[in-house]
Amino acid sequence: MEIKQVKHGDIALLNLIGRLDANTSGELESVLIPMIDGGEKKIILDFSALDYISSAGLRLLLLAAKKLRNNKGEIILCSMKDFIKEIFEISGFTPIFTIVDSKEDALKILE
Amino acid sequence: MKSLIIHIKNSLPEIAHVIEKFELFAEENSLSGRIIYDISLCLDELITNIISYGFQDKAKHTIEVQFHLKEHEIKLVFIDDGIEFNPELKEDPVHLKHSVEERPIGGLGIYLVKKLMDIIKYRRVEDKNILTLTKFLKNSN
Repeated sequence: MEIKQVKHGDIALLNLIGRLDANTSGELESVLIPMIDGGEKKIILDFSALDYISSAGLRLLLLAAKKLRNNKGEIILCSMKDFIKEIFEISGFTPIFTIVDSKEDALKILE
Repeated sequence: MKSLIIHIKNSLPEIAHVIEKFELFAEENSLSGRIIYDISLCLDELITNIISYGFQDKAKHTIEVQFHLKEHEIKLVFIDDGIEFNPELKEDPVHLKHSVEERPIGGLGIYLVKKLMDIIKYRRVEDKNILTLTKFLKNSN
């Protein structure tokens, strides 16, 4: 998977490209977790180019959300494809994450 | 009926090969993107499980994955000689409604498979796990 990182003021935006599975979740973990441990409090994950997520990816997102919650930070997921939305729904992740339609919406919430 | 049978070693990078071969088979047989997604996810979750937890020795093992496509259903069969594991007996996570703080990490893979597939049948035959999953193909697929 490819991860593109952009800063918008105090907001960190990560654009996830490709597949988030057992094989690749380590790559995202090595970017996301140090970011949170380093004090980043506003994070947007842009799912517009994410084609696939498995339970390994979900596990990492939950871990990140827990860590951010402890730091009084916030994570927002945006531009999720329909089949990924359904996996979130089945997993019971929809109520525990803020999920919005576009990057612009996510930025508005955090700004 | 059209079938595809794949043998892989118990090594995680093999999963990508199985998914690749399945996707090719699915495209040749005009399965919908949605079905391809759901089945790829099941392949990923189940084979990851077998390779990660099924074998207690360091020996090489072979895992067989079969696909059988009929007009109204696709059947997947997983055969491995790992320790006995019956996903039918695995309880669904009871924490689905918990908040971020309360929710334990993990335990979702098998649950997703059960939700995405229509029938799950497990058998232990001699020293082998034989898991059969069926997904019904609706007209829109």
